[in-house]
Amino acid sequence: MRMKNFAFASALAGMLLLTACSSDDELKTSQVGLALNVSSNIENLQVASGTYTFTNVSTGTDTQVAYAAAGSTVLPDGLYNVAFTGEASYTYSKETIVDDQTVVTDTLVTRALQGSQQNVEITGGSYSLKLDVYVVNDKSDFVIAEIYGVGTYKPGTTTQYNGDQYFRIYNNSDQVLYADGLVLLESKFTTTQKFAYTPDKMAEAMTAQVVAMIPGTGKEYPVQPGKSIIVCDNAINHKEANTSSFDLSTANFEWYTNSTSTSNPDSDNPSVPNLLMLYNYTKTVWLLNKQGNKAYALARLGVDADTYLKDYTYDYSYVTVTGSVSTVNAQYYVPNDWIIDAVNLSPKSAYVWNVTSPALDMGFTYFGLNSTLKENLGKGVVRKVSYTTPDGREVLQDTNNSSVDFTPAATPTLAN
Amino acid sequence: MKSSCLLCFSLAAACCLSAAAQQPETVLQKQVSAAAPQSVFRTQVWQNPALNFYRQDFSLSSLALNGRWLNKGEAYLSEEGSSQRNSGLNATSFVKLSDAVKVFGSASYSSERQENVLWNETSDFSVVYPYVTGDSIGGKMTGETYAFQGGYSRTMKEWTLGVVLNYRAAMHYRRKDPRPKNVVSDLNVSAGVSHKLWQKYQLGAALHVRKYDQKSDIDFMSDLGSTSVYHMLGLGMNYVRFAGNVTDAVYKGTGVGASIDLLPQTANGLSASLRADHFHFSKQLSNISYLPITEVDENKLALELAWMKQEGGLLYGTRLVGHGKVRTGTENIFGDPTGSSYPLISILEQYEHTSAGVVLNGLLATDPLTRRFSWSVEPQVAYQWNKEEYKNPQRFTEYASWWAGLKAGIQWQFRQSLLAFTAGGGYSGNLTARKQWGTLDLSGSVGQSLLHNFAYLTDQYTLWQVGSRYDYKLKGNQLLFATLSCIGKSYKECGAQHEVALSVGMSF
Repeated sequence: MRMKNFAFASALAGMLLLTACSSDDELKTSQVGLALNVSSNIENLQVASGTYTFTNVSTGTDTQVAYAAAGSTVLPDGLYNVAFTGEASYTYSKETIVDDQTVVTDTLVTRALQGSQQNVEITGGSYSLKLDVYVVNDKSDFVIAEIYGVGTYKPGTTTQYNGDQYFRIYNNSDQVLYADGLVLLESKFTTTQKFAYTPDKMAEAMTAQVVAMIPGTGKEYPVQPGKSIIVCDNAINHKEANTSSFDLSTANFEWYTNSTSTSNPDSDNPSVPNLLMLYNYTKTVWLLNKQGNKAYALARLGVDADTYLKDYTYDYSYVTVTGSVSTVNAQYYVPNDWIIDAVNLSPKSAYVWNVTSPALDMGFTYFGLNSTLKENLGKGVVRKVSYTTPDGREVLQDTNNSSVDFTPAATPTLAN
Repeated sequence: MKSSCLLCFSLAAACCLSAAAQQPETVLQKQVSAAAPQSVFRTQVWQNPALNFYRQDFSLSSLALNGRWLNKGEAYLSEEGSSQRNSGLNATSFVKLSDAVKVFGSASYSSERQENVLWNETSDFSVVYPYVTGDSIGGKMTGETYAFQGGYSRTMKEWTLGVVLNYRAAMHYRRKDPRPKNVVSDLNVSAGVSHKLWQKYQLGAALHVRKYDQKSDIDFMSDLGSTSVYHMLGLGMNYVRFAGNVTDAVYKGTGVGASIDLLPQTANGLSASLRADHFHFSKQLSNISYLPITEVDENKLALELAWMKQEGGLLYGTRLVGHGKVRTGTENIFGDPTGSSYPLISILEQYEHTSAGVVLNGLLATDPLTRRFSWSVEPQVAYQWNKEEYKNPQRFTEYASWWAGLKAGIQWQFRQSLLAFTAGGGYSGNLTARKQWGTLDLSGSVGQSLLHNFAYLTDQYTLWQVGSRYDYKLKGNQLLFATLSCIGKSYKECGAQHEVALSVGMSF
């Protein structure tokens, strides 16, 4: 009997030990090899310094790693957005004739470099990252200084107030620029949902669903250095109907889509010039996406409008959520070479990818941390001031990285 | 005459608990026996439904209305709210059908309210932490809980078999944005067996299984739209990728456990119970095709050793309770989404909560089964240690405390009445309070909540408690009873906490 009891107890104890086993796994990490692929026509361009920033998409935490020629780091497994900002240098040799002698002088030139890549899956113990980086274009031109897209509610109601969305376009150069022919673009694709598009044209062009041009013959709309123009939906004094809105009656341009919807008509202020709507996806009113999940850009067409409308479409398809291939869609595109500024917007928590080339914008900015409209009301994105010249002109920050160039979830300047 | 009969019964009952020989005859005697140290000093062994056969050898049922008010002051976890109110109905029954068969069960309904719940819109925080859904608004949480238990045990020669089923259904909600609506279903089934050992003990074993489900949805009715909700990951971290409008989640859990138990045939002797449990659940986002974003595995070990001896009309006892727990939280990492499809690319064990504790109780009492007036004294010392950790970015919280207290009680039987008073007090001191929260913004709502919790968990306090119970026997061998208990805690930093509970009911 005692033996039987002992066996009974032993079996139970063994079962308990098995049940009580606990895991002591360490956090899974991967060794990440770091390399840059510098895309530039400059000979002898050497990366001098810089910093990689790995943003963990799941937790939102950043890990920064200093540049090294053959660098590596260890990161927890995960999905990351990677950005690199740094400097590269090259030697410029100049020959001059002095006293019939050819004198060669070498000048060390330093240029800013940057690049980014979204949704990098770092798993499995090791990963080799080869990041495309670009020399930052430092020519001064128009920039998008501000986007106000969320809007407000009508006072005392919960009805969304539309019509007061606007862009502020700023002359960031030291000379007079003309807004004539400047084109405002809205991306077709969204930054919060990624599909495998075929063909993938992003490295060479931006796929657009709105192409709206500032009218003019070339020198009709001068903009002084350090000055802005306002391009808005309805150029009226919105304060009369909505005290929490703005007076846009003095805006420089408005967009008018000549809505065909009787229930949702567009209004036109005849005293404010309209944008030339070369192409617009909607037959009603063009409203900027209130969650802010599109990219916007400024461009100058490299061809005349008629040629553009005739020649610059392409067919694409993509793999849908269910795994099937979508129907073929025809869409306008704008070559990256024509684009002078691009801003990707996405709710911070919902960001998936950039819908423009990293050469145009390697980051993104946001109306709100999340796509919850209530929290984002009355907010916009405002470009930061880099420095002020001695004559008082503000030079706005333009590193082609909206994540650092803009103040997200900012109070619009017209509200001040 | 009556009193001498009672004395005879009490003496006999004190000598032998298990045998079906002398049994309490009146409901008052049954109540005395059910509340006696011989029955309540041990607790864990009764979780084995086979051994529950030996808990008492008579039938006793009760029906009670009860209420509880707990005002926590500043001494509370943000996720559990600053105060609680419960009221409800509770029925319990233990029926001896024959010398070989006993059945037991209970049913209860409770209406509940928690105030100022923050960073948690989910029910059962202690079950699903740290993976709750939360926001910075929170508020009052109202709810109802229904619980049922049914058990059966029988002896067959030297073997005893038992099975018990527990089911709890709960619903919690708020009628103001954000409006969580949580529906909980929690089923526990235990099957046990015991065998007579050396004619003095019952050696038992039990298997426990659990099925847990919670559906947690948050709605916003305001025309102004919704505010953001967050899927918390522990120590202030949240799953940033799914923050915002992803408001609906389900928790699906299963558990399995086993215990080995030893129970003396009489009140004298050593009882032992060692129980191990494993619990696993996953949190799935209903809005995104039930994407399983996080999972928890918890291993628990609980030990109770209790020794009791009756000598010269006195009861001596000591009880050692030890428990340990390792809860690991795993985050599922998803890759580059194509459309709304998220491929799983990695699994990271980021969160861990380890805790261990030991409680040592003493008992000195006169035997209430043998005398009309009895008293008891229970000194207690305890130690508790906890460490919560998030691996990357590294954050941890570690705290440990000690406790020393004393509880005393008196019980007096007179005529058709039974009157009992208890009083106690103690002090809890902090031994360790360490934290590292890295880059957490302590001025933000989450940071403030974490600071508040840490202040509470590492605070020291003085406790006092008083309680009383009055039973009155009716002519039909039924008892009317009323209980009242008050507990007060005075925290050094977090102020005062008060709890009042009362119940009125009938036993038969």
